[in-house]
Amino acid sequence: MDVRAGSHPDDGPGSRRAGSAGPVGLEVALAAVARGDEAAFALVYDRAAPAVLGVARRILRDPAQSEEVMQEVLLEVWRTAARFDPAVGSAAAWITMLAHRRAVDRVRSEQRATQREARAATAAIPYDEVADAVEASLDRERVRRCLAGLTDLQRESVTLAYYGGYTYREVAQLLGVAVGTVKTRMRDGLIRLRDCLGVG
Amino acid sequence: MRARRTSLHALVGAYVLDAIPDSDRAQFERHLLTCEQCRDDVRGQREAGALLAAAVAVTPRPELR
Repeated sequence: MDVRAGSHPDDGPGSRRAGSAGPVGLEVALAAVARGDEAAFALVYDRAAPAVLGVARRILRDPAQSEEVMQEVLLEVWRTAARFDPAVGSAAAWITMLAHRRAVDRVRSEQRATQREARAATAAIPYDEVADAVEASLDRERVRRCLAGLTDLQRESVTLAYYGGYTYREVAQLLGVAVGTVKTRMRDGLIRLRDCLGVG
Repeated sequence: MRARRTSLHALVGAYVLDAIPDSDRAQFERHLLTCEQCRDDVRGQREAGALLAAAVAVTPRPELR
């Protein structure tokens, strides 16, 4: 997803560059979707579906389930676009929040934590796809670099949770550290990521 | 109770990562209603989450559109 719309290091806190991602920013498109604009939804789909699918794939592993979750999330975006409040964050953050929650809910209801392969969650950010646009691979590189700037414990806590769907207690068990330590590393890791990525 | 408030605040990262068990999520969301610092943290950290998602983006099959 082109997440650069509305988030740029030069912007002041809370400001949004809605138009920066091209002719129509994602925030503007979502507002149109809230009014039932199908063309705007097609644009939201094109921009957002890859990140939604990618999150679902990381967490669920299974391609069919991942596709189902992706479709459910985009349907939820279509139905609840009016609930998006630009004052609270970017459209990308809102959509990926929906995606992540749904994927995590699904994996927890379908697979016991003990059966899931933790290694997949901490796998490296892929150097992907011939079809990868320049902006997408720049985003990957930024995330790769910023994740590398975390301590091992911060990075593992964040990636096991985000890409693996584990709870903080499960992460503590997987890593063999105290629950309080995991909570702190998750928070510190996200704050450092936020600062390194220049967002929020 | 200060101890509980402190420990709830410590959950903000876990909350953004959806790493709180469902049974505890409602409690943290109630806390969010009263904690502006936590709301600010959530807002900023969610933007980082958006990029974590973008980093693993996969183009869907055209048939799904």
